Amino acid sequence: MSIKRRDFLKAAVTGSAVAALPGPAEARPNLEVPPNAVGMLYDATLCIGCKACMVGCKEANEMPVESSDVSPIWDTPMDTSGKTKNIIKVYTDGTAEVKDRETDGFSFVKRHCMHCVDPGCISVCPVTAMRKDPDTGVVTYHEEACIGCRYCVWACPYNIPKWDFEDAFGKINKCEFCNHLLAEGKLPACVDRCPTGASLFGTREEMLEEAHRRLALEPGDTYDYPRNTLDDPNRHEAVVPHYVNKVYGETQGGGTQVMVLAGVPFGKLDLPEIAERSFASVSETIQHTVYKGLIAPLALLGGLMFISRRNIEKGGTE
Amino acid sequence: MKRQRPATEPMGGNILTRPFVFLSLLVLIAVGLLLFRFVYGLGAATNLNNGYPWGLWVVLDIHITAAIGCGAYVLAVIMYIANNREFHTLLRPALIGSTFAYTLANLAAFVDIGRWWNFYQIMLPWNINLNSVMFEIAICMFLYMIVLWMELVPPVLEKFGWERFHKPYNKVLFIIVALGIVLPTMHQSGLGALIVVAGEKISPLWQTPWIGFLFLMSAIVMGFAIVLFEGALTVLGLGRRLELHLYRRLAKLGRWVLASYLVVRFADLAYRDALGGIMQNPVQGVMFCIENMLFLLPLLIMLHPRWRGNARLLFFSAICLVLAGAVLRFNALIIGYTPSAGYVYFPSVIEILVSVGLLAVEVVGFTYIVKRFPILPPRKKTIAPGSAPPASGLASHV
Ligand code: SF4
Ligand code: SF4
Ligand code: SF4
Repeated sequence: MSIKRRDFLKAAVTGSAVAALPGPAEARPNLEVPPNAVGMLYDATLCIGCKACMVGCKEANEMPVESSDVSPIWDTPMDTSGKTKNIIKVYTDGTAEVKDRETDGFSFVKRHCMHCVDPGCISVCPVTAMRKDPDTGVVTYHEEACIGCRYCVWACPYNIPKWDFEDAFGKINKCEFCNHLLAEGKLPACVDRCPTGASLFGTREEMLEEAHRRLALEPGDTYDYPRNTLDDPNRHEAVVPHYVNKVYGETQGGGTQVMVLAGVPFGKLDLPEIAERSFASVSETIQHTVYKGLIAPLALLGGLMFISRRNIEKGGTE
Repeated sequence: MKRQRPATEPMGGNILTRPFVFLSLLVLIAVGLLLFRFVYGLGAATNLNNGYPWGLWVVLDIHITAAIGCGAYVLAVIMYIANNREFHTLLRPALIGSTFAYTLANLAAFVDIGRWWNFYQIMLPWNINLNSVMFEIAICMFLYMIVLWMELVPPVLEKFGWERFHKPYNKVLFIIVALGIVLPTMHQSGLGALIVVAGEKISPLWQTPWIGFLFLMSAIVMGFAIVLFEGALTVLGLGRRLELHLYRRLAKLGRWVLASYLVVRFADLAYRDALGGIMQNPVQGVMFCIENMLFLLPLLIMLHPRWRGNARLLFFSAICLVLAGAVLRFNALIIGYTPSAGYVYFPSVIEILVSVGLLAVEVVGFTYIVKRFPILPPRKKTIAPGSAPPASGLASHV
């Protein structure tokens, strides 16, 4: 709150200093969650690292396999890339004995687009090639408009969009929430393939509720974990682990539609601690303070024309 | 309306001097490598990766080149807005430098975008994203390039004896001048504001809401410096006489911008309590110190009346300031940037040679144009009596 105000004041001062004109615009608040926002909950404590979701993702999106091995036997990308939209990574520490423990333990984490509520990639794209569905909130990429400037790659707080550097006529690759499957009423492929319910699909609201329900459980008790969706009858019982008491994605950078629960601190899982105010809103507040309705630049232009005309008449052209 | 056009004339002289031929070769190599880049793609030609999607071309050939192109912008403000005409002989050479710089920066943008065949998409009204800093920069830089070309119309008219067009041109000159000030003000700050959206991926040493303002101020400082620098180069390379009194006064004006830049820079760092960032990452800390030493040292020189009067020290200051602005841009965009784990970047040979080639275009083009177009004041008045032309091949003349 006070930080917001401070940022805003700074932005306003910057803006007026640049445009030599006062009249600060309203700070642009974070964008709101869309009305029918879809959601995904990834519970790292349920993930067994089988990578079935990676295979499913490649199939559903017709992506080729990638190999980082000397002897290519499996699909082994090192990160999301021009050919990989979804990857299971692993955190290990010391002897890596116990799952979901920070010291001498390990944890899996599934990385793909978070479908931010207020996405940086959309704010930065000069040609609107990244778009957010106003209803479901799914963030899609439109190659026909993309010029390949890679600003989205550079700016995404989760390092998600990837340029295909192997292709001379490449494009951006990123998870689009299996938008084509959602349109047919199907589940995202990674959720559909997940055997343990680590990846769960529903509305963002449902996913948030379910996440908080799990955080309220007593570690050591058992819980009837759902698979695929909350109302799918195919559930399974498991012992409740020690969760880190936070739903990652509830507020980070204005919130995300893909949310994560885990047993080790999120920072260890490549999920950085990000302030609630989205970077997109900070950047756009500065932009619009300076360029609101182009009033400041036009006023500046008018003033300069007036002065230079007078000076040219008085003093000659050069 | 009286015309006080200072007489300028082509320098004349041999074009194909040895340095000219050497630099032209570098340009040719760059052209060949660019061909390679367009056929085999960014991945083959560069060391860019998905951790460092922006590299040398973005920082050196777009950001720094555009900032180096601020000479004409600074002189336009001094001459047409502050109505101070004493620097008029510097305007045309500065215009040539700026026009080359901006033309090359636009070209570099085209070379760097991965889907260059799609570049026109940025001009389609339904694609416009006014929230995108990149959009603003791209449009403003393109328009400013055109404005610069238009500012070069008078020497062309003179060269071909179309003097009768001067009058109508001078009638609209004020529009060109005003655009030539608004557009750089917008995009030079935009080039800095570009990094705001990356949030915590940029070290607090550079990530600040003021970064746009700082980029603008430092670009103005670089504009001053590059005019000095170009002046010194025409002295060394083309055997012109040094107009020290002008450069000294230019330095006197420029130091206030430089001082304000440093005040804002450190006030902001102190206010955000960000100086601790120097300790957190040694590479970033060292680069931060180099950057600011390069700004501070020239300020000390320019504040001292005797040092300011020394041509060598003045030239040295100008070099420092151009480098300072360059390091600031490298720092804010690459050194201060933390990619996701596991990525490293160092420019490839092709990236470096293309950048060298683009810089060579500037020197080669500048030399050609001052020899064939009326850019510099007549030699008679500017060669000091008895001064022998320097040994440099560029100065050999018939
Ligand atoms: S995670 Fe990155 S790519 Fe996905 S919506 Fe957010 S900003 Fe865009
Ligand atoms: S690379 Fe394409 S999608 Fe990404 S910001 Fe640039 S134009 Fe937009
Ligand atoms: S939602 Fe679809 S595209 Fe995204 S990670 Fe899952 S399977 Fe891949």
